[in-house]
Amino acid sequence: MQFYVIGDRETVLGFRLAGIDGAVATDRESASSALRDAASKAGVGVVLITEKTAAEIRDEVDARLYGEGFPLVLEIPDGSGPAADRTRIEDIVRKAIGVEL
Amino acid sequence: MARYETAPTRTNLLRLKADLAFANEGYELLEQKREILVMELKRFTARAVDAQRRADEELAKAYAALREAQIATGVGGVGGAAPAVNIRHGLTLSERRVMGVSLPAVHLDLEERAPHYGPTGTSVWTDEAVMRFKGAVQALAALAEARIAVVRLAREIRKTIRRVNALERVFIPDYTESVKYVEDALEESEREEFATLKAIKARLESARGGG
Repeated sequence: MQFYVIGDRETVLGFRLAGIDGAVATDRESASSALRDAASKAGVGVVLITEKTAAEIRDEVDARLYGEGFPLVLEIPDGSGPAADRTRIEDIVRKAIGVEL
Repeated sequence: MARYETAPTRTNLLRLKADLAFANEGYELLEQKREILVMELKRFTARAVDAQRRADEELAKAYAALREAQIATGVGGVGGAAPAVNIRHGLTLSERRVMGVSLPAVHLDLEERAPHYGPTGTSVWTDEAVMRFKGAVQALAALAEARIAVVRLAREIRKTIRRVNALERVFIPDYTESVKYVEDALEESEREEFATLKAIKARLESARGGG
């Protein structure tokens, strides 16, 4: 299985250095079609998508996140660092079980 | 609330008791499900937090190295090196189900072969960037497994808690109240029936004695 990356030009270039194919997505349409393409490619096991690009197609990303099977979708920071509005793991857990960790 | 819609008959009493038993059983099962999911969630939490921090750090280093490489060799230079870098991705995925939640297992074996690009046109910065991105990918594999598990388990737990609460606060009290109402009403009408029978019997006896 392979990784695949979707995001801005810099991110896609960087991951190519690690031998990972990808698609540059600049807006909602290109992000959406890149994700659909990636999902239909044989051997793609994990799709890395930048947080900014994922925000453009939130519903599609969430559908895969909460769904089953592969590819998995993982949001990653782009070159400008982690998104300010990222949902922290600590907050996800606290909302579910109601205790501070 | 439900009791106002229930006619106090024996058939309805049996039905209500069956509903109440079913609601109690569902409550027990959902509570067990919630406990198991919470246990799983706790197993993944620390790992996910740690993997997130590590992935963020590794990626920040990777992007910094990429920028250095671009300054040193130009975007073309780095881009030119990219297709020549030879890394096989031993990415293995599987999934297991816990209480209906699909949890992925992500395993990555980075097996590297010598890169094909020569010393010309690339720089030590490109090597650095390649190394950094590989490190980042390793961290991201761990993050994918742990973060997705946390997100999915957390959502299922919230759903389960909503159902447990609905049973505990609405359905079970309603059915309990309805059963009590119907039982009381049946008892009351039995007493009335008994009293009526006694009155009839007394009247018959006095009629017989008088005749």
